[in-house]
Amino acid sequence: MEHRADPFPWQQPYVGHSPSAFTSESFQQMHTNGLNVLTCGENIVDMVDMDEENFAISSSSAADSAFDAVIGCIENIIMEDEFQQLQRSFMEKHYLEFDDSEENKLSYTLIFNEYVSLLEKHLEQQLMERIPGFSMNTFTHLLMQHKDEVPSDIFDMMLSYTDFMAFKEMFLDYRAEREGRGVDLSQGLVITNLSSTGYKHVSSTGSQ
Amino acid sequence: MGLLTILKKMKHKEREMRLLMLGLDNAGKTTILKKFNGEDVSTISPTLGFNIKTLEHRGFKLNIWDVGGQKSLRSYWRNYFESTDGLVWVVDSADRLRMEDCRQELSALLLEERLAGATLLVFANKQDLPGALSKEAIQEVLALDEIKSHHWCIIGCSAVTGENLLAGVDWLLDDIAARIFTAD
Repeated sequence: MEHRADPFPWQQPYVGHSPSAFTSESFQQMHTNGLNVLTCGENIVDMVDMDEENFAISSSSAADSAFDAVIGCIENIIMEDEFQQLQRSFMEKHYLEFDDSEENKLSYTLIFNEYVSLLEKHLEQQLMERIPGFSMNTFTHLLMQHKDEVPSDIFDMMLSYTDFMAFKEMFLDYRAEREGRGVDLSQGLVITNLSSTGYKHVSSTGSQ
Repeated sequence: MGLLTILKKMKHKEREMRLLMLGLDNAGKTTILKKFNGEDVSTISPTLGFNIKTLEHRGFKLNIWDVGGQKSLRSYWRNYFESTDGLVWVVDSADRLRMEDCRQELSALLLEERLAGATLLVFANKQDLPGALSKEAIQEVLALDEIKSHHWCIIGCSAVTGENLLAGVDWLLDDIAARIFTAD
């Protein structure tokens, strides 16, 4: 029966050519070019320091480390002020559209799609800047195989960006904050870290 | 497809289902949703946007999306197709004049690629009304027997009394679970 279209046609056929373009080749390239000044944590430095022989012998573990390195890089990106600024300016642009009624407006969905795609583009662009030869395609292939190894806090954080209800809640909180109605931090909602440190960011990162 | 979208699809596997409830306006979609959720159904106004409820049932998390059915809103339905496991098509069984409209809208949906993997449950709603068509009559008018592309089932129900709502959801859940979770 073929009615459930598999959204990931590469999942099965992928097995077998794991140390692909961006894992071994690009990191070797990093090695020869001396591009070890990346800001994505120690994993990449480890990768750069690895002998080529090690790549040949244990190519699967090289792929593992490359994978971990990208995850570390993603973690850095989403913790940075720039990312939070991106979210904040997006909310600033659209918050007046959101109100507290139970029924959702159809426009929320369009704004939501725009939001997810904005964050995705930022992530991809940042990864490409920080990891030479980075390919999102290759990475998502690896992600399928390693999904259980992604630290759950990072996984959950990224998933929260795709959760519509969390998205709506974030906007309602932002609106309440903008209109001086305050945010109830005891609820532990999505934007708590923004609201506790956001004012500092606004002034200190304004020139970036 | 971007990274976050892919992550969401990956996560989607675990005992969680997305159900999309559609149908013409005044079919009773929101009433069904609220009845499921144990809410008051005496004052429900036409849906101009959409509602979402998350319910736990038999160890599954059901995310139910109910989108307004007025003609001017139907072109927005497509924004809600993605990742749908079950399509719930709600019919006002007493609205004989619009059965043809109802048939056309449903058959258009079944051609949608992003709904290709979804199980179809047809709720022949408002069976408590005196002029209601039986579920057999609706099965015929909607030409359900011609559907080969989707698993389907029709169940007569009443959103107001709650009759048979659970039976419908149980069937849907069984069918989806058999397709998805045994395939892993």
